[in-house]
Amino acid sequence: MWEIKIKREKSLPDPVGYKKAYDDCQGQELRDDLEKKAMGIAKGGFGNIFMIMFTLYMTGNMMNIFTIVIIGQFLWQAISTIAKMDQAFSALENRGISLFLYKLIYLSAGLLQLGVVLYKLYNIGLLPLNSADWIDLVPLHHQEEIVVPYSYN
Amino acid sequence: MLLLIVSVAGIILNNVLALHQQQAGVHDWNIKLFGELKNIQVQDQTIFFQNTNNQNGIIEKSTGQVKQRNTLTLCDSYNYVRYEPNQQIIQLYNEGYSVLAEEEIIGNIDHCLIGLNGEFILIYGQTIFSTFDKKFTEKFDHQIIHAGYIFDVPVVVLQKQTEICIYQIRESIQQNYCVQSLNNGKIYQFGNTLVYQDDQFVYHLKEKSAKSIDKEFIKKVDKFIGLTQTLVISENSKKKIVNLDGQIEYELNQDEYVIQNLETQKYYYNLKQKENELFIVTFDRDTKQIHTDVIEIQTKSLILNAFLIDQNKKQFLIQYQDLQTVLVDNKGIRWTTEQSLISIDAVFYEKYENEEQTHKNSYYESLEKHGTNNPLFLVQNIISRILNEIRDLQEVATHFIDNLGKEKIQTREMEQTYGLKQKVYFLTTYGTLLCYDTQELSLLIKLQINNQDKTFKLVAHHQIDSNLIRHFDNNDAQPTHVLFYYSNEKKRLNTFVLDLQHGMIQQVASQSSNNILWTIPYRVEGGPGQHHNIVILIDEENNIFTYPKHDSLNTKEIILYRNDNGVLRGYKLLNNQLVNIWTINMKDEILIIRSAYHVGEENPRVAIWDDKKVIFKLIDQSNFAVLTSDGDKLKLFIINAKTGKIIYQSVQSEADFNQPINLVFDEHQVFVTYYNKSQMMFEIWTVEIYHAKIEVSFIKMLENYYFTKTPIIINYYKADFEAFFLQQVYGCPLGIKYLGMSRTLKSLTKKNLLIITTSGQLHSLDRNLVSTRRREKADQPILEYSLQSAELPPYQYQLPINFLNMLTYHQTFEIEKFSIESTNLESSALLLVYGSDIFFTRIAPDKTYDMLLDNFNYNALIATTVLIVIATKVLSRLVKSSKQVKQFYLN
Repeated sequence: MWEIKIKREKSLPDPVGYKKAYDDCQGQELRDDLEKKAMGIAKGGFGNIFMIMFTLYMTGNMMNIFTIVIIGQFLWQAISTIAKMDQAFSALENRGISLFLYKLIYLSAGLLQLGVVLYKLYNIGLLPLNSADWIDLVPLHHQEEIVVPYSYN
Repeated sequence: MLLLIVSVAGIILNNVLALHQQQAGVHDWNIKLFGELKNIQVQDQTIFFQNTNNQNGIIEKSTGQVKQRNTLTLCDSYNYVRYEPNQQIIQLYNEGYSVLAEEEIIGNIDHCLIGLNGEFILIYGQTIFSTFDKKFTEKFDHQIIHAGYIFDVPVVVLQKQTEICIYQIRESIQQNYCVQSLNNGKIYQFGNTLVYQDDQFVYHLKEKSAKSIDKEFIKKVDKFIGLTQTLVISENSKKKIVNLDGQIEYELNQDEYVIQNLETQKYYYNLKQKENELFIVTFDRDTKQIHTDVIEIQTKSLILNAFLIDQNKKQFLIQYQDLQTVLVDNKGIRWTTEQSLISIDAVFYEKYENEEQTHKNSYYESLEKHGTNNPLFLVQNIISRILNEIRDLQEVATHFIDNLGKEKIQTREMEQTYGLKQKVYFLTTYGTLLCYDTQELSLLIKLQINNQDKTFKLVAHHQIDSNLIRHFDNNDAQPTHVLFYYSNEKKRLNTFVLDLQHGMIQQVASQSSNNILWTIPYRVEGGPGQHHNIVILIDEENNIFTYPKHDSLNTKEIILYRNDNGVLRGYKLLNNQLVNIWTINMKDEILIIRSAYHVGEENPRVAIWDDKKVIFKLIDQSNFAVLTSDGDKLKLFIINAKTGKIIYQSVQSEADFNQPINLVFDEHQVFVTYYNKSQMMFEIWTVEIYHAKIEVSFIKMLENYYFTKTPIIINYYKADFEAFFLQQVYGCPLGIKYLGMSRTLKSLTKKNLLIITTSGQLHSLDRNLVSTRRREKADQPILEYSLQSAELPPYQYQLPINFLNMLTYHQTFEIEKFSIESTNLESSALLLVYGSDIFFTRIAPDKTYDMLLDNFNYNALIATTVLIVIATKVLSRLVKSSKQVKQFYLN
């Protein structure tokens, strides 16, 4: 039986005739490609927003099981989008381009998604942003004195 | 498909069973009372009665239940007359069925007589109206002091200046004779004749002449016996039956009671109650023989009234001084009822003690401590709720298994635990304390405060232990009920303590005093975690004393006020002395005063929300409302008792003061009901007081009430204090006789208005409907800082009446007042309505808040669940074994 053993190393030697070196022209193209790719990832979140907005609009402001499931799903999606930012850009890390701007765009898309979902939550009254939501902070009435009319019985 | 069919069948079964077991009104009960009897007439199984409240009716002889009762003017047992004051017509009824005549008269009917030919003779004021042949009406210049019969001939007795005159009414009115008299005479029926008595003259009035009687002899008369034309006289601590000439026929003891209305003149029946035994002595007038029957009756009272019902069965209707009424015959007691309930002084409740105390619920404790909807404790409350529910479920399951097959015991225990079944105590003007089970209407305790003094009246009833201020730590303390009775004759204040556990009533103090004006339950703090409750009493001479005796009363400010013949006076209790702090002279007649302070009330919520904003009710229990009359104007004043400042006044015109007027002050709302003559309708006039501030930002809420804890106070001393007074008037299609407020445990659910209608029904009116915050028009925009509500329906003058909210259903009762007791469930309260009738029901305006509906069927639910589970299992097996499925997997 033939047995092939491939030695997996982190940095393999370049193939014959290939020289690993960036010249200006080749480097620019690659950077453009990477930036394009990074921008694609960064803007990916924006594409969902209209779909989220439309779906949430269609669910209405009534509180029912479907609304709860849909909003819950979108809320989870928005939070996980933000949480997985590093993971989304991991393929582009250490490739010679700065990802800060793209990450910022990605984050803003995620926050926008989250904002849309929170706005929906606010509309159906699940966010305590009204004064009425904090009504229990107002102390109960305590009468300091006893006031008695003639004739109490 | 099968699953669907089974599910639908299950749901239908559930609904059918639920409808079958509909329990609406199942907890209700009512009692009709006949009260203190004046006269009776017996026919077969029916006892026609007339009581001391001028009510007539029918008692079922076999059960003692009142079948019918009214305030019509009776002409005899079968014929009566009714006067409609609004239409000013009278209606004459024959045997209660047909209208015989209608006639327009002005004024209430004083007497109705039936003439020799069956004609109606009505006497109202100084006018006599007869339906005989050609109707006639005759008006006299003198007062008619009596209308009755002398030997079956209708007569009237007129009081002239120095004489009385007897007129007989036949085809016309003819004067028979006159005799000399003073102006303060009384007339007694004496067989088929009359006896007149004043300070100087006494006459036996007959058909054509009057015979003078010795006035000293008449002064000794205890009772006119009637058909035998004999009298009972009291002389030398003995009673004697004598005739008008003074001849003694029979002698009896002072405590013996002679039956008044004899069917025959052959016997005298004398009754005597002695140490739980009733002695019935029969005296044969012909043979002079005496026969005594003894019947065992548990009572400590003396006989007030007794009537012969059936001579052959020796059947008597006996009414004791505590208004316990019994029907006895030669076989013993047929029935017994407590009629003192017709006049109730006070009502209070006691919850049953649970044999098995459940654990403290930390969830509810947290709600109590941090507020019901506090978002900061949301997660903690959810976890606590879940844990407590699991513990409750465990307890319920254990209890269920322990009591399997004892469904009734379980239901009773559950109702006792939730306070849906309690003990209700009635304190009556007849000095009885009666305790009934609210569910089963069984008499549990009867106690008696014996006092022959007629001026002996209840001043106040207080519970002086734990009820005044509620805390978690004092739930175990037993409240002590203290009763204060004042005798105006002896000028003494008597204090009684009720020991409900042992069914005892004990007099603990008696002291000379003036008329008591104020009684104040008061909590004396004795150090951390220590306190005791006392009652402060203040008489009309401003003397202050306490029960139990206590020297220092300086811990809490006490403000008092009173109406002193049209002058309102405010006082402050300072160093055990009453100091006058303000005086207001009211120009108009004061009708009603109502305080916003109610002893034992929970601390109410100040803030309410509407849409998204928070508004603040101005709750100050030192305010009180005064209603006065000026011509046809009804004036409302709201006065602050601390400052004596009139903080609000308003007026409504066209009020009819002959119709019932009510005033209720609850938290920040004042409700006035009256009849509006121009609208021809009862109106509910609402005044609400709000703080001027409105919170629209949650950040402000956090800032003001979480971080800085801004107090919500108002300074009445400022010329322009920051309060809004809103008022609105609503037309109520129902006649309003009495208005009150419902009550719940924590005031979280709706507090509806309860209306006793003029037709004797009880209606529950949604409080939101009479709110002043209803906007004028539906399309009217609501400003951010407006008190108008976006959630309440727009204003309409006439209130919609939902007849499903008639708590008495289709029945009508003669009811005057009601008493409400909260249960351990927030949604439910016990409601007892009383007057001549007593009606009990449970109310739950927001029932689904913490309860399943009455018609919820557990059995059907279990059956449906089991059916669905079986169907699911069967179907899943069928699906697995079906050919199509196998084919699908093969493909």
